[in-house]
Order: sequence, then C-alpha cells, then structure tokens
Amino acid sequence: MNNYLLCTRGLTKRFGHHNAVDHVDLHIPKGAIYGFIGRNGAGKTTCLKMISGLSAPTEGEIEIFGYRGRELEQMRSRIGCLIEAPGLYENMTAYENLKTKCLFCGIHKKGYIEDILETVGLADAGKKKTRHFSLGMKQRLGIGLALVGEPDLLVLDEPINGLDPQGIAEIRTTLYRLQQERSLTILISSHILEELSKIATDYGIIHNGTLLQELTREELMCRCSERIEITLDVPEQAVPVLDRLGFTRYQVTDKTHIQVYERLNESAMLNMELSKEGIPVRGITITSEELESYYLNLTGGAFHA
Amino acid sequence: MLNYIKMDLYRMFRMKSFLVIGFALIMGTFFTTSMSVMDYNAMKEETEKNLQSDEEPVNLGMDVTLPTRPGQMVTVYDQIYANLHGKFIALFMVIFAVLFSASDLSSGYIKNIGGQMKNRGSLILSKAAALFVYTVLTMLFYLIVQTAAQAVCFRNLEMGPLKGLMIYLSVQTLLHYALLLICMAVTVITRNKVFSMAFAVLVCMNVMIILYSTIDKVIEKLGIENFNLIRYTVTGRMSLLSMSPSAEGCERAVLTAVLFGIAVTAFSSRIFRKRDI
Repeated sequence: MNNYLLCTRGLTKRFGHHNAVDHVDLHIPKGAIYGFIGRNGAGKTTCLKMISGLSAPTEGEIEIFGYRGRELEQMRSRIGCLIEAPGLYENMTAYENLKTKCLFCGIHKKGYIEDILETVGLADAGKKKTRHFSLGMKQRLGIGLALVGEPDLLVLDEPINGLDPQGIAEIRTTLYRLQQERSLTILISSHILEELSKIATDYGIIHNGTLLQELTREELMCRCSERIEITLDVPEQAVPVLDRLGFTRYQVTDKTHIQVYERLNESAMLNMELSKEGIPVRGITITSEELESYYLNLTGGAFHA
Repeated sequence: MLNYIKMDLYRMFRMKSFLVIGFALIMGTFFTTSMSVMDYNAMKEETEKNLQSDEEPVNLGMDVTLPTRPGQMVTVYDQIYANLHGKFIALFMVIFAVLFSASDLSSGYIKNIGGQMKNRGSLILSKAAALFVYTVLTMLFYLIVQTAAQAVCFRNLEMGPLKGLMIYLSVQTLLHYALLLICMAVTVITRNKVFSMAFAVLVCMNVMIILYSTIDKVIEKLGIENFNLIRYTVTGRMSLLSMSPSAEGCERAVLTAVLFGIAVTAFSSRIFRKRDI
C-alpha cells in the first residue's frame, strides 16, 4: 500500500513490434489534478485507455485505489472516463444520453441527471439533440457522462482539444470546481502545457511512449519561473551569505548552481556580498524559461503535429 | 445484467431507425399485399384459361410468392407465410439489428461504459436480450399490419387456421431471432457497418445458396450423398419450414435456431471481452 491513488509499474502496450507505451511508471497522488503531457502520438491515449480498462496492457501492472489485477476489475465502476472524442448518441438529448448511462449504472435517483447537467453547465440544453451541440457542449456532456456513478477518479483525454479560448476556460473552471467540491482525483492529458499549468497540481511528461519526467506544480514552476542563477565552484559556501541577507526562497540545484527565486533586482548587491566574503562568483544572471520551451527542450525540439 | 438490458432497451426505442424501419415495414407489407392481389387475379385468369406455368422457382434472390392454390381464398396466414418464408420481413429486421449493434461502437458511447464493467462480454448478452424483445415486438407488429393490409387490399379478412398460424409464427420468430443474432455477431466481430449490412441483406437474398451448393458438391465428391447444407442453416430452415409443419420439422427448426443463437452469441461475447476498445 502506498500514498498514491493510482500508480503503474512497467506499463507497456505493444502493437506488433512498436512499443506505443514503454514501461511507464506513473504516480498520481489522491486529490491531484495530474496533467499528462505529450505530443500527438506520444502514447497518452493508449496509456489512458489501459488505465480506464478499455485496453489491456501487454506488460506491467496498474494499481488504483490500492487494488490491482482481478481485484481492480471490481473497482472499475469508480473510474469515470472521457477518452478521445466524447461518445454520444447524436439523435438523443443530453438528458437522454445521461439517462442511458444512469440505467447502465443502476441509478434511478430523482434529480440526479439534472444535478449533473447543472454541474457541467448544460442545464439549459433542453430538448436539443446532441448533434446540434457545439464542441464545447459535447466535451462538457462527455465530462458529465464520466461523472455518472460518483467516480473517485476521472480520466480525461484531451478534453480541451479543438476548443476556443472561452470553451477551454469553461472546461478548466468545471474541472477545478469538481476537484474542489468532490475531492476528485483527475488525470487529464493534453499536448498544451500552458493550459494544463493553469489547473494541474502534478505533471507527467511522456514522449515516444516513455515517461520522461514526473514533477509537482511547485517543481515545474521553480524550473520555469524567473530567478537569479548564480554559478559557483562550491555553491554551499554561498548559503550562509544568503541566509544572512535574508533570502529564504533559494535552492542549490546542482554542483555549480544556486537558484534564487526572490528579490530579483538585488543581484548586483548579492554579487558584491559574495565577493566580499571571498567566494568566487563565476556568473550571476537573471534567467527564466517558458513552460512551453521547458517542455520542448525536454522532448527534444519543436512540435511535429 | 438487468441494468445493461434496461440501457439497451432504452436506447433501442429511441433509435430513429427503429421508427423508420417500422414505417418501411408497414409500407412494404402493404406493397406486397397489393401485389399479391394482382398475382392472385392473374393466377385465377390462368386457371380459367388452363395456362398455368410449369416454371421452376428461382432460388437466388427474394421470392415472395403466395402459397394459395387456384380457387382458394387468400388468407392472412398465406401472406405471412409468403413474407416470412421469402425473408421479406427478415430483411427489415436484419437492417435494424446491424444498426442497433453498431450504434454504441460507431458513436463511441461504448468508451463511456466499456471500462466500467467486470465482464465486457455481458454487453453482448444485453444486446441479444434487447434484440429478442425487438424480434417478438416486430413479429406482433407485423401480424397486425398484415391483417390490416389484407383487409384493405383484398376487401375480406380470412385468417386461415389459427393454431397452425401461431405455431408457424412462433417457430419463424425463433429463426428470425437467430438470424438477428448472427448479424449482430458479424457486426461486433468485423466492426464494419457497411460489410455487416451487405452481409445481412445478401443473406436475406439467398446469396449463401451459391456457397451451400458448392459445399454440397464437395461433400458429394467425398462420398456422402444427398447432403444438403441448407437444411442445417437458419436461413435454410426459414425457407424450408412448411405451412403445416410436422412436430419433427418444428423441433429441427427450433434446434437449429437455438444452437446457432447460442454459438454466435457466445463467440461474439468472448471476442468482445478480449478485444481492446
């Protein structure tokens, strides 16, 4: 038993000789909004399909809610998913689509469907057939369908794909509210890091089927935010000086660097104080990295959509 | 399982094709009945002139011919026999079966529910249950429509032997249900609506006879004489079931329907359970 709601060990999916997902080890804490980032074809959807039970892994293990293997099969109803495009009966209304899922789950509670429509902002959809819905409305209904049965884990595959900025904002607000109100754990994939960064608390970056990195929101922000980067031969020597000057938000990141995340306009003073103490400073610069460029650097260059 | 059946029935009754095919069945029934009036009148004239044709019936394609002998009244039973034996009603039903079986796959709705089940194969069993309800309802609906068409087109209403009609209709219902299960299995296994639809329509058009006769010839060359594969198939039993079937004939037809039904449902359920969505 561990502290994660979901973790995978060596999760692999092979199609012929091609490893679509290659020994992926995910760790998703309870209550997290986990942003699963990767380019098109990186293996995000395949991974999510295996987690949702729509596809069987070639190798590896999935543990959700502390259960795995056959035991996990019994717990599948606690997972709601929206994989690829929302699967809707287009000749039915939003209410009828939800009613179909409710019948499947054995839910007959009065007002239950209306509550879900309210939650996803489709209370006014009325008798409109879903074929006449906008993409945003369809995505929200897809999320509504995933919510039927009060799942503890929501798996959403690119729910903001193809949406306009307003649609993206609506989905983001809906997800944030769900996580806050229902304490849901949400696994959401996207190839737009910038958008995920607005709601995700944890991240996993996948590329060519391999998980490159897992990091928390704080770790990502640290790596991407504006900061003073000091290059030194022995960074530990500078720590007492920083403490004496009242710096609290700094980090020795490797054998030659210290990153300081506050009082960015005091870099000259900092340089002087270090020199006074006889600590040789090889370089001191204000640096930052955009989220997108951080991601691109990690995955090896520009997009190949 | 009951929840899955309820879900499938709910979506079945909300399918547009459910209504469209029901309407087409009404139109088709009235059309064939009105054509029967012309056939019947022509047959009477030929009898009077003693010009009855000795032509052999064509086996390939749809054949909706009244079994009524010259001089006899055309009954509702005659019409039902002609349409069921000729697989005219089956044609409407298989089209719906393919559309119904493919709808959750083609719409992607299956992805909302497929991962949440202990055994995904149960979804095939629930589809089979929904198709059973559909078969029974359609047969009852057809009985009513045919009776109405008979009254309107022939301006009289002779039902024919009721007991025989009920037995014949029951056995044909079972055979039609088995055919629907075969079409459902083809749809689920191939995941191709166009292929499944073509298969379903061609089966109703007796195209399989070409295959059966080829197999019969091969078997004959192996030394087994008088082997007729058509006697062991669902569509064959639908065509061969007589208007006054013997107990043995009914038993064989029921046995064929049950065996085929169980086999194709079990097979498609197993494949659906194992396969990725």
